[in-house]
Amino acid sequence: MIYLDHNATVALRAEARAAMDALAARQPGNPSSAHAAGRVARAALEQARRAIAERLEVRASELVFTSGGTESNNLALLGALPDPCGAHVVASPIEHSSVLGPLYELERRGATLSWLAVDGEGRISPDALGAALRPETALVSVGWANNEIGTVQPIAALAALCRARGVLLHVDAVQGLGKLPLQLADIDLCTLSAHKVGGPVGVGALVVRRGVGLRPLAWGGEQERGTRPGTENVFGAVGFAAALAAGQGDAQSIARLRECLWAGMADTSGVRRYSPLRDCLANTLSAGFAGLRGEALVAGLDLEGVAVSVGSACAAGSGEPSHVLRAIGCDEAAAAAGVRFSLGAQTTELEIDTAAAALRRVVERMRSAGGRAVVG
Amino acid sequence: MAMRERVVVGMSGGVDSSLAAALLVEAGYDVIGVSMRLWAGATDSGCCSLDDFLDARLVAEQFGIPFYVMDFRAEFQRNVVDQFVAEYARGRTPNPCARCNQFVKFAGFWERARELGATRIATGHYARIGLHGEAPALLRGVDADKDQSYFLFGIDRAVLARTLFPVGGMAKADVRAAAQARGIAVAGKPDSQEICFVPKGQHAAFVAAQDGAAPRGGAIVDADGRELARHDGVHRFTIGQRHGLGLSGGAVRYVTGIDAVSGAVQVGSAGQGEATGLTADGANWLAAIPDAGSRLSIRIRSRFAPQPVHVVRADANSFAVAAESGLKAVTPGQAAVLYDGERVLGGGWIRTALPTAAAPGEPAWTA
Repeated sequence: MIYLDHNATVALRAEARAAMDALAARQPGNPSSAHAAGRVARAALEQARRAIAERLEVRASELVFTSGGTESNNLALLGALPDPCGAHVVASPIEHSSVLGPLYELERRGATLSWLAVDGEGRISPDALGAALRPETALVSVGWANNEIGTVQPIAALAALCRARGVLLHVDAVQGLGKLPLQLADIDLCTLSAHKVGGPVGVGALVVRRGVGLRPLAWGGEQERGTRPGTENVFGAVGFAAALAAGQGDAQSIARLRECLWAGMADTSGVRRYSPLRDCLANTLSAGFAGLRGEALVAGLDLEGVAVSVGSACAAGSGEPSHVLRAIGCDEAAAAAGVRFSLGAQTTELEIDTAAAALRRVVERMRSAGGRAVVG
Repeated sequence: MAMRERVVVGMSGGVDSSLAAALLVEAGYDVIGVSMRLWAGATDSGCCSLDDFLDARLVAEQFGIPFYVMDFRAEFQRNVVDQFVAEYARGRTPNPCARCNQFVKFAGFWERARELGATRIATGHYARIGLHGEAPALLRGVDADKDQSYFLFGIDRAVLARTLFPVGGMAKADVRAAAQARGIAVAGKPDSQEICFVPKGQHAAFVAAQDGAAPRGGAIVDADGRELARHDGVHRFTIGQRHGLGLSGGAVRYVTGIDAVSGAVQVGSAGQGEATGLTADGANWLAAIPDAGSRLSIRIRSRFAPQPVHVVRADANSFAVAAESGLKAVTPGQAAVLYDGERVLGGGWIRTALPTAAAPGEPAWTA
């Protein structure tokens, strides 16, 4: 199988597995326990925390381990505004559902939402943010890099603006971690996930900068300074740190392979590239094929041994047109026809050539079968 | 190595389509399983529940076949649900399962299958495909109690030629036993019975809840037009219905006519509901259009023993038949399916019941 769905998940890296195996051999206890086994676990947990924090250039005490990106996004947004009645929240409209979900929950609890304008590449300009901010704006949420089309936001400029206006900023950096140099200055809350960098599923983190108060989502323990009670996922944290340290490949070579893939499909009739040419994740290529259903393209490619997604894997099967493609100006048919190819550190040129050839075959077959996009 | 023929099998998560998939794998086909997502609404009475998709997925995994859930909601809404609501508002009684087969489960499904490079589709329906001369023919299922050929008359002939019904030659009990023998987890799963998007007995509430339907109330009248009671919508009635009429005392009365324009629902005795024939339109022919005078049999409901009829006229779009012994509760909107023995010749949607006494100007039906 040629796996081109790394934005959905990256297979567990050998380094992560080895680190977890090494920990298992030491028979760790509960990190809160006062005996030797507990100390083994506590040391492993805190070493992992420190290693991740150092890479992000934040304090270890600012890193809260969670069960993953979804929990981190919920904790950040719902935790930052425990009493959202009357609060004004500004957010990017092209976010993952785990950001949109808690935003809608804030709205149900009385907050007012404003959606930021994005351009045809999904980009949010500092001007757009400035125009959306109000005196009563309490929180801004923007994703660092988009999971579907790969657009990277000008986070430093947006963060500086929020800081100047005294507004709390949350950044979902799940897709940026390991792929972009993340500079967390002026960012108050930042979401991370382990399995997108080859760590285990079921662990993530929220960076909570010093001075930012969060109301927990769960109650009943003092772990993670009370912000996230429950026995810590020590194996997960250790695997996360090891995967992150192992690196995610060279962005330039990955980008070169992505352009090979694009070159291999650019002649296909009706193809359109959604991923921007500049300021885009090196591994991400989103494309649409006029008149064809993304759902059927994904199935057709799967039968050829190529794994890709429509939009985000989390929305797959919902059959809904991509809200990201809608936001960058696609009509409903085009938004249902998008396919996301996301490369990884191990992707080879041969795989890219094979995948492009498979794609051309599948598209040609679907066109001859008279495939339509959205049934209307 | 010869290329194996690729077949896409519609998998509902039930025992019939699960065994169908297994039999196709055993027969050497390159099998792909697809569950059709038909209905997005809140009801969860029939197919398309997450549990059903999960059942289908696990069966596909058991037999090592690729499996996909595909979205047919737009086709289903337009061709089945909207039409269901509109038919009740017109005083007719729709047949959503036959509509779904015609427009979604075969026409739409075949198109998606071709996109996947398949040359055949298969389902778990109880019907058979045989040859009549050179041409593929749709035949009744072997299990008379489970036969679904009535619901399949609307399949396009070209699609029928590419369709497989792997369990159509089996009895239900044998299907369950064969599934059991293969360790298929859903071998004992109960059959789905009701309309998948409407909870049992709640079609009137469903219709009333749809935008734009606005069914009107009116009078319940006897054969002479005398008002017996009032009702609050023609969508609550179907021809032959005898419960829920709100009439007290007297002989059992049946709905014999529905006039959506005036809102009148006519009731009468069983004999007053009998017709001498019917007309149907929206015809689909799976064989040559029958000649006038042909002696055939007809089914006008799913649970209905075939009745002898002769063809009065038939063309590409419509037909009229006369019944030697009368037809009970001919219901506009339902499917009328013509059989020559066990072979389905075609069918259409009932437009009118022809009355007991030929009205002036009507042709004489007796040949």
